[in-house]
Amino acid sequence: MIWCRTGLLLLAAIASATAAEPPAEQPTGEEIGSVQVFLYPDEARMQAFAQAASFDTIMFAAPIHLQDELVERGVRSFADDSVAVYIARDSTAAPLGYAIIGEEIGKYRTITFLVAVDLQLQISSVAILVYRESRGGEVRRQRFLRQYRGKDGADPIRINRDIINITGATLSVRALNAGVRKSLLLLESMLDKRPRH
Amino acid sequence: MTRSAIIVVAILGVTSAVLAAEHPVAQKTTGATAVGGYIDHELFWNDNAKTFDQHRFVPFIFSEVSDRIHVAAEIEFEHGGNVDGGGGIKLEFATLDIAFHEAASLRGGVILSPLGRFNLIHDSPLNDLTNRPLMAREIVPTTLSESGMGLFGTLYPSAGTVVGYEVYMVNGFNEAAATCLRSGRGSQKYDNNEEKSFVGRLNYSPSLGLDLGGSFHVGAYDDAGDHTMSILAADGSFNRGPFEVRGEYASASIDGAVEDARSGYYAQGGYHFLPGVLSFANSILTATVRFDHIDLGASEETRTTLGLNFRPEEETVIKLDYEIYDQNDDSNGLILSLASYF
Repeated sequence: MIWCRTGLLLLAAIASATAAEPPAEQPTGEEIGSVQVFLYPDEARMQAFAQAASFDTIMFAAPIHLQDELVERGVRSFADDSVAVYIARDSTAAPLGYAIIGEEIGKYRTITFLVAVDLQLQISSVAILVYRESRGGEVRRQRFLRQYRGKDGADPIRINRDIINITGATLSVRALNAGVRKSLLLLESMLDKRPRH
Repeated sequence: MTRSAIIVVAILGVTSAVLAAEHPVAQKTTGATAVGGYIDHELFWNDNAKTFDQHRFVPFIFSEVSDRIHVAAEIEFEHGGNVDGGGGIKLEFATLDIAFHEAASLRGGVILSPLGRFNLIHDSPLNDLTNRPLMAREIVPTTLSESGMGLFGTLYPSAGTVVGYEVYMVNGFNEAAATCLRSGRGSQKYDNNEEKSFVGRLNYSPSLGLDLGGSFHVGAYDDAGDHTMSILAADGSFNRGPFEVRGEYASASIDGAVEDARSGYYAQGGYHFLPGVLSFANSILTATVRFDHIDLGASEETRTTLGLNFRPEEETVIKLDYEIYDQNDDSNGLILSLASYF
């Protein structure tokens, strides 16, 4: 099963990134090229949920009808049939929110991002983990990313509507918008919640 | 394998395992190379011409030599690519970027000259009107690509502001610029004189959605290298919700030319409306108006363009424009065009 293999790869990758190298000894962004790699997955999760005591990772097997729903709602379907969802928990193991790491292609290359939502499935933060294009790196700045806060699956999340574009990085912004919408729809489906405005 | 490399591989392992991306703009063909491009096709309907024009087919290639070394290229097949039929094939740009820091990357190759805003953001699918501004044809002869080397980068003076720059040494224009800047675009193989030209742009964004830019191109253009040409440009854009406005002004001073001062500007406004119609969830309509003017010394032209376009997807657009010329009445008419990234 592809999604089983994907899950194993995911867990192996997380393990190699977190267990094999203590966070304090990880190289800085400058050392490995701050031009592109801005955050590691564990850093991104901790930034999104600073009060979290632990994280669970579950593999959400997307139901077949979800692919059709993604297309109907203007989000391209995805190749894998499962996705990793992080559940942030406080010290009593109560859930604080959820996060997904996703990828979308900008003009040339993929942008890797994290979307974090609260228990009402409203976005609490969006972070850029890896940006590979030569131009448009300012999409990772909070000046741009804070626009997503408070939005949910009922919002347009599109340029020329509720997201202000970055001149010269239009394709990156469009890609990130699509990725955020896709993440919200996946979480809605997983939790069987549908925000209504 | 170094610890750095292990962690980068681990991150990429994570990211390749989640939410696999599918997008029409670029498809990964090997581990480090992507291909994609854009196409446009136009139908002109006026007293001068009633014709289809396969204007541009522009495949691009992007490759990561390493994490911080990139090669990118766009190959333009213009007007069908057949030279005998008025078309052409050229490298629109082909660059090798070496990133030392986000604030300083070295770029060499055929460079998209940072002269004005339109030359940098000229892809047909991005623009709401079919024809380029008159200024972007006669004063800044887009698409202006020049052979050279230089630096570009982005800086963040504060949490809310962004500054970007590009500066390159290039071969520059040739003698034909004395009569027509568009004909005077220089060779990508050799410089016609021993003097190098410099082109650069500084842009400043004080807040999200507002961008201001200033740019220059200066250098000798004649074979002897005795005469200097300088082009100065200023541009601005603002977008908020469904509204956007933009404008540019450029002036050229051409030492030794009969018409030694030329200038032009445009102002354009757009309004986006009716999202999600005709069963396309991502669709939107856009109404656009642009006012254009150029002064070439011996002649002037003013043009007003009204446009309505439909984007079934954000990367794809169907445009319907009506152009009204002040001098060249025969060119008044309709343009219907299609454009898309792929």
